[in-house]
Amino acid sequence: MRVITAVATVAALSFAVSTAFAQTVPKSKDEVAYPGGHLPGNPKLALVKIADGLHDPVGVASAFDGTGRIFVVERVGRIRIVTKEGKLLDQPFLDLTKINPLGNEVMTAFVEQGLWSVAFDPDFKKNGYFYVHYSSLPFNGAGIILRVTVDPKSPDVVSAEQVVKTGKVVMNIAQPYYNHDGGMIQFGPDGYLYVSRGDGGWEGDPLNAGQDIHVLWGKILRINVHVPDDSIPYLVPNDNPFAEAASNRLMFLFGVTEEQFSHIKIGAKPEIWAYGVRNPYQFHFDKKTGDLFIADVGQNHWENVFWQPHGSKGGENYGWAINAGAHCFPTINANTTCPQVGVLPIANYPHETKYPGAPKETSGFGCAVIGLGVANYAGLDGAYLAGDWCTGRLWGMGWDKGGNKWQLQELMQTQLQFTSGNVLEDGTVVATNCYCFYTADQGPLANPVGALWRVTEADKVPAGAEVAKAVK
Amino acid sequence: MRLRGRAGATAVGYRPYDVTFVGAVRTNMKCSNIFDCALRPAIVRSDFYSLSIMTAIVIALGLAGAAEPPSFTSPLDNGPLEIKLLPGEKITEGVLKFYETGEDPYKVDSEALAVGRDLYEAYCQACHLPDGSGRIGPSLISDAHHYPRFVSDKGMFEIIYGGATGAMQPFGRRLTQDQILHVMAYVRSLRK
Repeated sequence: MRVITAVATVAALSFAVSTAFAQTVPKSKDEVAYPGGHLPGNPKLALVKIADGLHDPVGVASAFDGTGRIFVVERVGRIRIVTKEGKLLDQPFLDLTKINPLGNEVMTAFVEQGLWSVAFDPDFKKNGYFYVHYSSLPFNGAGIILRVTVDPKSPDVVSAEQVVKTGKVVMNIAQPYYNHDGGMIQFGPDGYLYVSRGDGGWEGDPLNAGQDIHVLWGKILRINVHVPDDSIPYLVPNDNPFAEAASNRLMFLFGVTEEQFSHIKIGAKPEIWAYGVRNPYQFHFDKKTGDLFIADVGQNHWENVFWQPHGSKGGENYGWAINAGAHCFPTINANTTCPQVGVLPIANYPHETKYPGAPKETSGFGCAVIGLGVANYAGLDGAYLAGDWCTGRLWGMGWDKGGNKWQLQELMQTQLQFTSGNVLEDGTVVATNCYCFYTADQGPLANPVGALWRVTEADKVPAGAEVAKAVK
Repeated sequence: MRLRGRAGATAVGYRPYDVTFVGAVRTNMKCSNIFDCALRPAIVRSDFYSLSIMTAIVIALGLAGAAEPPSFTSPLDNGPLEIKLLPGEKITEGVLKFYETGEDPYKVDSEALAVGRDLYEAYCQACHLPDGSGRIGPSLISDAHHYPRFVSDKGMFEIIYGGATGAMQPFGRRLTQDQILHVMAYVRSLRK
């Protein structure tokens, strides 16, 4: 009897503790984190340069194959290898500028276009598959996801012939305008490929793409690329949120509940995992927990980061373009009100003005949030790191168990124009920067070269290493 | 006078000085600008230097070797800002005058303003707007300055050359120092 009581007490306490400290999606606007917070442990970080001389680096990934190679995506259509020792190999791993005799395969005319990302198959060591996502020149800027197979005899260089021979187009998504393409692809802990697509461009989502589940723009997609037969481009996981709802069926009008009617979404795109995003250029999974963080680039006034706990069933609506995160779209003035649609962000930060005519912020602002990866080191426990494309700020956000809330902390302000980031095999977060801001873009090979940086504990910077200039 | 040279190259095609520089000189003891007074006290204190010597040195070196730039600092952290030459960049007479006086010599040169306008329209106006009133980037014509050092030519040079934060990138990677001085002259002209 005493044992049972003890077990019950422990169970009750555990429940109480887990309830008190449960990391949750904000249910009200006051639970959304703003600049000025503090991550637990108040981490002291530095950005250490790993490699330089990269042309408009806009993506980075690890193959998780034990080699320690870092694959850096150059916007023009190349992937470069930085070795474990930090050496940038001269010959590209992949060169899409050379596979088509009529010219570059990749469209780069606008700075948001280009080769955006690479993801390596979870079984890469065995099958040699990797996937790239880029804006296609032959297809007028359509977003193409291409699978390529590495020749094991040439692990560091995939020849043009090898690309043509093994290339398999997994997706070809038409793009209406030249901006808001999205771009990142990542394998989730479930082995499915997640794809970010922007709302198709212009500004203000003129196609209402974010809320339209019949189009692939303004979405996070989830597909199964492991098909039994390569004549099938990909499969839709059965448990995608609209997979069942989208399917054709016989119509019955009577004896059907309203709740059942609400699940019928004929013609919806079954690839959709989440919707109502604007331009989620970068998103990352926490390798430790499986949680998903989405850095959604905002419009004139707010930048948002969304979070999905591992185990989410998908189908989240992040509100664009009815809301801009926890704010209204459009925001007319300080008193603009609107209904809140969908799921709130965990954190947000403003642009220089929070609404038209607002006083200019003097600190803690930016213009475009670029997710870098989830850090589980350097005193950080599941903190999502993000950089700002305009102001060089490095942000950290995470759950504060003590305070029972999300925190958003500015970790430093640098001179870097952040473009991408990812988590490497050793668990560290790396980031890329370019000198390719819209207004100064001279082309992906003409801009001053960018670099690759590692987020490092400040007191563990290797001797002689170059550290990004920063103020904290 | 100091003669100094540094050599070296980085992998990024962006190299430190590999030409010889000659110490900046002054004609008298008075401080005509902040950087001579505050940042080059050793030189300012000396009566030895004169414009004639400076001129002779410059002529002798045929501008192949140029005056040492003053001690520039970064708008981000106020730390040292190293000046590096772009491949093929030549130190012009205008740059030398700027090093010497801290004033942009092109502000009173209408032809230079036209060159500056072309550069401004190519690199600056999309963020700062054609009239300098600012959009993504701050206003260049108001009394309030995002970086207070903007009010001096040296300070504006530091912001443009060395970059501020993020998107206000170091334009010293794209433009020669002479071009930057032309842009600065045009920016000053925007304030009516």
